[in-house]
Amino acid sequence: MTTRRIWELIGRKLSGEASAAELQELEQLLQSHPELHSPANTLTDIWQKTLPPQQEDNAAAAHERHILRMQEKGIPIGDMNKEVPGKLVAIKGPLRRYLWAAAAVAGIIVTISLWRAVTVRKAVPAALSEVATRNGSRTSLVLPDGTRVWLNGGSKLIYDKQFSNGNRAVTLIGEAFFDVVKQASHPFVIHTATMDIRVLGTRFNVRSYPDDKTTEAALISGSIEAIPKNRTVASVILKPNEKIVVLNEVAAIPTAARNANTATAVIIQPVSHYAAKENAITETSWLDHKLVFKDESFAELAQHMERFYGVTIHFTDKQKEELRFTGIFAHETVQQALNALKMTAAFHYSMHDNDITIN
Amino acid sequence: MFHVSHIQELQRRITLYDDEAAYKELFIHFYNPLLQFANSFVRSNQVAEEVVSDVFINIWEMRRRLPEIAHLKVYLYVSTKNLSLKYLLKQQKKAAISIDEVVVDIESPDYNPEELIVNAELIASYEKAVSSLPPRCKLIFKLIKEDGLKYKEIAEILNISVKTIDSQLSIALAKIARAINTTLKKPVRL
Repeated sequence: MTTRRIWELIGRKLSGEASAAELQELEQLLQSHPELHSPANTLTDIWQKTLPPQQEDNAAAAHERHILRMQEKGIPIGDMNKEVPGKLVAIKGPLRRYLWAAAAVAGIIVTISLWRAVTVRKAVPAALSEVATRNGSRTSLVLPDGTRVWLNGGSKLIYDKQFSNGNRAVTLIGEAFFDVVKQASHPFVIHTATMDIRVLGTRFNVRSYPDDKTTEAALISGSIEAIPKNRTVASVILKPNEKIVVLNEVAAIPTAARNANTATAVIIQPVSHYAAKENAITETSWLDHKLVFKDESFAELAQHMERFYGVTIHFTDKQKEELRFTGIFAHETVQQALNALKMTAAFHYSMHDNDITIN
Repeated sequence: MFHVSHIQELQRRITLYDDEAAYKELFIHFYNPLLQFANSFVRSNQVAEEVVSDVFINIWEMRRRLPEIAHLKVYLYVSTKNLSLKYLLKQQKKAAISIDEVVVDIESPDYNPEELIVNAELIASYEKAVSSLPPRCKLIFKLIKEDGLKYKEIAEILNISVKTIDSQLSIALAKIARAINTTLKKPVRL
């Protein structure tokens, strides 16, 4: 019976379950059983030094099969990190002929042709990496420099595969929150359709959906420089809790009328809060899976709901598009959200799969 | 072995951001232990892989409610067990399966011979002793040693008492020690 207790205590010791009192008890019991010392020590040594075999490779392959299986079942997943090959520049006639000739000759000339081939490849734009999200889904990623990006629904982030410390540039279509790693000598640049944003190291939100009226950048901490494109304003340095709003349609305004309009096309204003708390910032509320809207037209809100819920919304009655709403959605389903809106305004809706009609 | 707080962080990222990278990390971390656990019930690699895949599909589909799961690790093992049993019951048209019917495989461990005071012969006798343990005993031994689970976690997963775990592990260790002892006492051949 005592040896049984000894093995029980050794088991607890090896698995890290033993209390101080149990360890002491084991010590005392072993003193009266010297014949167990050697097997106990050997067993302890084997237990501690042998590890279960590492099989990360097989797990990674299984993960790929798993994602495929989910996609076959129609579950939206796995559209991130899709690689888009860069444009290939055709090797032109004379150079091609030269390469063929070089390849045909052995020895030192082969080395030269290889060198030529390398330089040719350098002239080709490097391949691009693209991370995209569908409406209703979000993702986060870490760029090679350690910068963390949260990508909202219906958005796309494109960056060079050679993205590194010397070349920290990304292109954003849609909305993302950036937590940029500070590198004083290498600014991080975000290109959008209507403005470029240069940063050294900071946290901020950029919203640049092609079908929205405005492009916005809201700064949470640090400092950023926003450079609107084709504007009279050269560049704007934002302070924390400020945001810049740039109208998207300026390009459509006739040149003659442009000067008068561009003055108001760029607006700097404080970020807004949806609750009386410092961190309840409307611009970044999507990170907490909240859809915050303040005096928005139904047309605008519908666009946000499409991205938030991954649905499509149509209006059959133009007048309904002009209804205005203020509120917050968090855990509601799209039906619950629409029913809540219905309580404050007169409209009806019908829903087939993910297709919603407002009438 | 992941720290509990890291699992919680992954859980949070999956819930809030639909973070597929966090989901992948979770999958890769638990895939092999869960595959082996499922395999000990269903006895087929292919079925076991499907079981684990189903467990993770459920996790993804219920991701908004993940914060409600206090011990995700235990939850994953319990789901794996339940789905495995569900498969078996459907296959064999049985009403219940006893934990004594499970078959547990333990892979040969990795070790650095230079770090061990023992020799290859001892390792071989250790492995042989482990593989000839009775099923329930072996399963508990594996979950503790290989998967690094706590007694409380195993008790919850297998629906047994901590006392049972104590006694099963002591039986396993005593048997292994007996085998090791026999090898130790063998005269050294010159």
